[in-house]
Amino acid sequence: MSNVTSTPIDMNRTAAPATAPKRSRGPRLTGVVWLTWRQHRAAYWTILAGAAFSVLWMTIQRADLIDFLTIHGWPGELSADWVQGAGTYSAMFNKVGLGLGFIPLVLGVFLGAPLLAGDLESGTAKLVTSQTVSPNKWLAAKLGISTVVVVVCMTAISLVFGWWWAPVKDENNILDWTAGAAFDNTGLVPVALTLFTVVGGVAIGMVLRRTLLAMVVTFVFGVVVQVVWAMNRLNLGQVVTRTTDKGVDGSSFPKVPSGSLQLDQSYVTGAGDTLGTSTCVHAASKEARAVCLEKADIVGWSVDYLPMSQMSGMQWLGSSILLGMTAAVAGFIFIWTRKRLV
Amino acid sequence: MDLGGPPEESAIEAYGVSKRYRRGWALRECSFRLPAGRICGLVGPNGAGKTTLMAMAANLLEPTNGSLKVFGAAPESAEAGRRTAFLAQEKPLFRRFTVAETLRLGRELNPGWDQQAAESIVRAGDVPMHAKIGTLSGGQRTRVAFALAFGKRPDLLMLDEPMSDLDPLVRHELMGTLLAAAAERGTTVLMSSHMLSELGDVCDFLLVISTGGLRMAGDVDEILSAHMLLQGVDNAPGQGRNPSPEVPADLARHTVIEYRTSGRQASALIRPDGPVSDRWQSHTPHLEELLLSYLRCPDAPALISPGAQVPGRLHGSETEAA
Amino acid sequence: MKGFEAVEFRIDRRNGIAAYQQIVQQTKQALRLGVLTPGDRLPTAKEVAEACAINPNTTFKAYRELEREGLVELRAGLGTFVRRSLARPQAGADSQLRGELEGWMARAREAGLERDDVSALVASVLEKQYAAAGAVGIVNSQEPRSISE
Repeated sequence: MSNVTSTPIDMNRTAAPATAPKRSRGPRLTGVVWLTWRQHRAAYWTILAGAAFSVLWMTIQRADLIDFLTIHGWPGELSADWVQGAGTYSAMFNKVGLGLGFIPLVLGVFLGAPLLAGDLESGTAKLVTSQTVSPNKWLAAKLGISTVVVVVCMTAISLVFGWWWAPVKDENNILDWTAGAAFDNTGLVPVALTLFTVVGGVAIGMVLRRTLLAMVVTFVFGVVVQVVWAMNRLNLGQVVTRTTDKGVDGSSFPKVPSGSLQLDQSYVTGAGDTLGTSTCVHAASKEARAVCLEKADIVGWSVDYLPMSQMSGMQWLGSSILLGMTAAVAGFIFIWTRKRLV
Repeated sequence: MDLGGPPEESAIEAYGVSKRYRRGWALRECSFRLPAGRICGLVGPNGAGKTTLMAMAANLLEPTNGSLKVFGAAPESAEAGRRTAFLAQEKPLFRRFTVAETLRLGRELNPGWDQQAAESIVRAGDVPMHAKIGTLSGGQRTRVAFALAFGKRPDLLMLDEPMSDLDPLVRHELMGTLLAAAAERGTTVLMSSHMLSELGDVCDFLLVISTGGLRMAGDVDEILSAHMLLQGVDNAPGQGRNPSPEVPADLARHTVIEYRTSGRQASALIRPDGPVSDRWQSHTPHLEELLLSYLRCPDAPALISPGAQVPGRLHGSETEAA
Repeated sequence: MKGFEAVEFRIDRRNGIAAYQQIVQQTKQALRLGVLTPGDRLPTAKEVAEACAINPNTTFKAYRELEREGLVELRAGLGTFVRRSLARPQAGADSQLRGELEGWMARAREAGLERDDVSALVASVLEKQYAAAGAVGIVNSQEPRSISE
């Protein structure tokens, strides 16, 4: 190909090497990958920088936490008074966890929604598809690079958040593992939630073809995803029920593993039925209550709980569902654009 | 005309192409061929389906019925994609890219990219390479879009209203650039336009569509010589302009496209079938006059010249009753 | 540069004459006036297209017509070159024919004919005498065509 050499004949014009390939930092991008990166580089760099900042900041926070814990005997048994100073750390975890929880929404609105809507609205989709490049390839580059950026950033954030939290993971009073701040920011969950919201935003933008409208609808979509996810998060686990037959007085309450989330507690009868713990509360005296309990044939406690050991399994299950839905939406995008890209 | 020899290659062949949108038919039953190497004007009122037709040839839309071939290949084939370039009316470009980056886009996405051709088109307009597209004037932006389209080295270049938003000077200059580039490579050009007066110099082939149907197709010289503009005295003068005067009996044997009277004067555009009576003064119409008549009279019978007919398909020169 | 371009075409879009005929006429005019001489290269279709924004096929068509008349020749890959001049001694400034025409025109003027009358008369005789030679020759006159709106 002769197009790389610049012609020396036309010297009276300026800047012949204007389009000569620039020296490149890192690997030289080509084709649709270059185009996608060039077009969305501001968004990608912002996301990467934001992720790097978050990672750095959480690393500093962890060092701070370790200092505090070391004073109170960590990594050995913590002294009893450590809890008194733990409030600020608990608040920090919850604040950061809450903040990180907005990432899926923000990326869905600012990366996902405009990704295709912008090109469809400005007509640049037409420009690209009228070059010698298949629409699928271009679409794959857009979705692919965005996915890679999201996965890299969210994995880093998830790992560092998990690392920061690990020393106090078993302490429910610092950060409850079943709360969104913990559950949605560790393991694969932040990656899957963000990907689903972003790809959903892309699909919304593709259908609506208007950037601003797509961003608004994606915001609503992202909120719905968060709400539905929050309502169903605990349904991912297998509730464990522990029953006792040592009566319901004194210290007969069963021990559940540390860090478990207790969902329900009730009395259990000899026949195995459960009765509310309000049974016999109106008994006038201790004796009357004993008679009442006897009469109801209550033999012990029944406790429903989610042990912390299920957390990772629940996260995997939830993430798989989200990623499956993400793949379905991505498939829909490819099918839709086959006929209606322009 | 004197275009003898073996039949020319077809740049576009359309076989009964129709396109229907939710709001109705945009294009109905279009069959024609555009021989390669021609510069073809696509004329019609707004909403006649010009953009739809080009978008189908550029594989941006699928026909509802019928089929199109671009250099003998289906529009969705890689072969056709490589050989065609389409410039949409709004001339979309990435506003935040520089001119150099826009040309790089062409280089990255087209295997046969001609950087020198693209750069020379840009330089001819003194467009700075490092300027962002968003800062350029309309004419400069169109020039960059042209460069992108020509850098692809297409064999068929489709332009949708390429000059519509440009001042006359820039339009003349860019049209010169376009035609010179087309001359250099023998590119077939299909361009829609409302500038009827300019089409005569620019185009040697014509496609006229209105209300979704093909009204006229063929070599400009053939089309012009098939028509006659008559002027004479109206036998039954009415009061002032008569919107729908009766066609005089001595014209009945010819195909009358348009008949108008003004006071005592009558004028008619006809496709003659045999000699015309002496009472008429006849001229060869200008392209603009001819096109205006066709656009004014959408019910006039269609004319598809032999060179514009697709092989293996019989064309009556009569339209179906619409 | 060898075979420099001696002419530049000027296409008038308003005078109603087909662009290719304007090229033919302007070339012939240049040949008659000696602006173009044998061996000169005519501008390429690309150059004409760029300068005048006219269809390159129009230029080809004009050149083919000139070639048919034996005035120019197409040399593959090189361009179109002038073969012979149209400057005729019979039409020169000191020719007998010209002298006769000048005399006739002086008489016409004495007889009270206006410029337009003379021009119409000449055109009419021209039409009659040269009818067989084809219409191309007539359109040289700058008189507007008698077409009403």
